Amino acid sequence: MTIFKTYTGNAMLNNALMTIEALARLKSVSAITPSLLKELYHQVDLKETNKRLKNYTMLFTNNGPLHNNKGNDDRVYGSLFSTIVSNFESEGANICEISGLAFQTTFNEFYELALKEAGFSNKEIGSKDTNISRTWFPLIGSLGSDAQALPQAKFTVQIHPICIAVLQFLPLSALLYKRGILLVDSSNFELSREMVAQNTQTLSEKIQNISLKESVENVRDFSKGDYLLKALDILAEKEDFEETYSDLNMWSFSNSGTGANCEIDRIPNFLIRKLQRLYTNAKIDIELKGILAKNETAYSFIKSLEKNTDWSLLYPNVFGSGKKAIRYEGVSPEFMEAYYAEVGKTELLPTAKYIAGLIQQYKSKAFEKLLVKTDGWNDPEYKVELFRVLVKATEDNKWGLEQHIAILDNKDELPIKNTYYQFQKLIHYFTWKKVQSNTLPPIYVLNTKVLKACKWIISLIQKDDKVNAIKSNLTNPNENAKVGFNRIVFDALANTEIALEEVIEILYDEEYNYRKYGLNEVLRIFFSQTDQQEFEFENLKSNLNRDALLQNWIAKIKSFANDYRAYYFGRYQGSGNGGLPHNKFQKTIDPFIKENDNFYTLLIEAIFNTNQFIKEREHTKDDKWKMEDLMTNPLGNNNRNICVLAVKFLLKETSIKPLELSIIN
Amino acid sequence: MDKLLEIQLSGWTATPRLPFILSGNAICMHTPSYSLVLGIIGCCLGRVVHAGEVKLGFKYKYDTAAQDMETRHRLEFDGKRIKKHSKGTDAYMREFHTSPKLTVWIDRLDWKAYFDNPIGTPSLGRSQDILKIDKVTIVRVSKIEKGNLGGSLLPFTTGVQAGGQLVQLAEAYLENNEVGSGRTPLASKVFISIPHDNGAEIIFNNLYETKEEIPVSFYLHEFVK
Repeated sequence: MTIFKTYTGNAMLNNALMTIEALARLKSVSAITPSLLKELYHQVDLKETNKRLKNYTMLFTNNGPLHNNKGNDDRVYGSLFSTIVSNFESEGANICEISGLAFQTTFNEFYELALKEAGFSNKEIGSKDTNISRTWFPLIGSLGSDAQALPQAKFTVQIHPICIAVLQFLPLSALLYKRGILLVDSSNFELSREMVAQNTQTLSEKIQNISLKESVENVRDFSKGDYLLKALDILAEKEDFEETYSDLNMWSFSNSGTGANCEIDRIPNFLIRKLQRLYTNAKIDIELKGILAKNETAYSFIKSLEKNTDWSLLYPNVFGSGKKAIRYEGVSPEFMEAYYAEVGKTELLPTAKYIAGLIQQYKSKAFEKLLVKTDGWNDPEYKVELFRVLVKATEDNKWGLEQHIAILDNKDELPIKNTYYQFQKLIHYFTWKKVQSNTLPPIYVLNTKVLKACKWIISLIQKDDKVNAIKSNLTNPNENAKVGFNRIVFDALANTEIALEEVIEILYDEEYNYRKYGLNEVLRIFFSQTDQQEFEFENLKSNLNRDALLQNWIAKIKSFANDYRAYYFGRYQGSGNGGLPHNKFQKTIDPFIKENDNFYTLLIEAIFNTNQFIKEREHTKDDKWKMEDLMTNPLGNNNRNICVLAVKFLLKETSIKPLELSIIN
Repeated sequence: MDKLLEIQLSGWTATPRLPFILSGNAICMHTPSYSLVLGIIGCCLGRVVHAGEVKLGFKYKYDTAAQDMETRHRLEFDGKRIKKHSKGTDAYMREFHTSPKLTVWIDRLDWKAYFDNPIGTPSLGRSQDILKIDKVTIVRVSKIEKGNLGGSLLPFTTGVQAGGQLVQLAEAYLENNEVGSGRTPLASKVFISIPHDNGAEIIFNNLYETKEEIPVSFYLHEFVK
């Protein structure tokens, strides 16, 4: 009589069924019958074997009949198994929630019957808990301790008794994974069936090699990578290898005592496909096996491959220090190429190889010392030396602004950070492995924020009166960091429509700190080019227009600038030709905003005069403007750099823009 | 069928538990079960909704799975009565989903008013996993043969080209008449709970898609009557 036509939706039950199939060498789950279970029970000496297996208590606790010997429960085990199997039902009013099978006689009833047959008195039977609990089905909950998680706190999960009997075979394939019992669970039953069969074989060999008197320790020899290798081997053997959709859920659980827990690692189909492609690459399959076979490498490798992120062990490195330091050479170039292809970053490789070639041509003596170090890329000086190489290459027309932007860690981050940490590792890798290229690969950075910001400032520099001095300073390593941009922007305001938000986005970080060094370095590359394209000014689309905090802050300073102009016009109106003194105002503002040392003195004076003017006009007593109103950044902090920029920028803008009607009125 | 009632719900947290993992910690299924969604509908209607009353489709997604450590006030049943556990409370790890979004499609257009003004507060999992109803609309749909079913729960048959978690679930439950006598599970089947980030295109029966600028495909489940 067939018990199951196919597998169920319960991973524990399915693994137990697959174990039985493996032990009895069955071709299908439908071949499992009650009589076969009975026969197999004796064939594998299930009671004695389970008593010896250490994994049994992780699966069924030590409160079951095999380990709780107070009531001589050992004799109940065989009786219960036999009673359930001999009286298998496939019809009845009850529906098993685990398997969907119908049945009439409940587990409690069978248990009581088995106790009777084992010679227990009615009184003894009455004192026993005969409910289904996690002693019989792992993690299913017990009325005695998990009642709140069970229906109405007084009903156990409804389970067909045959499932309890079937589960007794699960220990015969239960290996450890992440310190818990492994369950192999997949919608591709062929895959999980084959994996369980291999696990059964492993455990059966272990059982056979140990004396009958000894207990069988848990098998904890395999890592996640090992199990994945098994899966890949199995999939490779399938004829429909390419068409099968395979995912894998690897359960790790324990049902033991107070340490009951469960977690499931999901290995999605796309990750299996990636691993398959690497595995079938004859140039790297041995290397991949080595990585997956070691716990310390397998986890990080699989995680990185799944998330399409950089895997740190691709690159040469040194672990530990002193005499215990271990030098690691990194993966093979073939593996590197294959990995980068799988994570969709192949386009980085030609550039890295090209820069490795530039290093050979332009390296300094100091750089040579770094290059011979396994983990040279990790030295803070590496970036400095590499930048020197790139500047020299630029001067020889072998490098340029767009190529440089292409290697930045974040091409869309403003203010610009001239860091290329990801490339440093890759470049050092190819230098280390002596892989180079002389071909400069095509670059696609047109729509990056960094390129747009560079073009924005370059266009202003190119039109500035002091363009040659600025270029000279930017290309001079000793002067580069000193070059500022405020004066260039203020002067450009006369002919160019610039928004304050653009300047803030390019030069200030999220906390409104001034950050110009990345920009200066990148501009050094551009102005070191032998051929420098002329750029037309183009406004940046800044998201800061939607930043309410910043907009309110700008509006406040703009209001001061307007008040100051109103004061100024009020005082000097009619002093010349009788009209508004625009030119005089401009001539006052220009030296004001160029002033650095006396700026605060002048600002205090401007605030005082403006307040006096407003008090007279509006007949009020209180000052409208205070220094701290203007010298507090949008976040309310006393960060004067951005405040000075905004006051100067908006005063200059006010001196240029036509007077608004509201001011006249 | 060319029109369905679409109800969009969202919340801060949700706990669609993986059934039958009751001891130790709690872990989540990638999607809620049909019986759970039926319960949410019943909550809005203010009564028990029976499986035969409605055809039901849903899509479920969330930001991430996180873990909560909760104090559990344990109970035990001694065969006669439910009482506080003799060992008192314990700490319990619970997995939960953050920022859940559940879109439900049902063929009962006449129930729209209940979702506009729900009688109960719907929740997905624990009592604190409350959902708000973002939108209730009647949408035009058309039948399709193949669709992206990430975030769905499909009856499993061998050969379904989808990855996810296989689960044995009762489609729905029938409340027993006698108070305190529990409920009866109906039609226990194997389902596959497909994670929302699994974008595989699947050929399946009873697939529909909404007629919108960006159509959404879903499976409409018909309960066993």
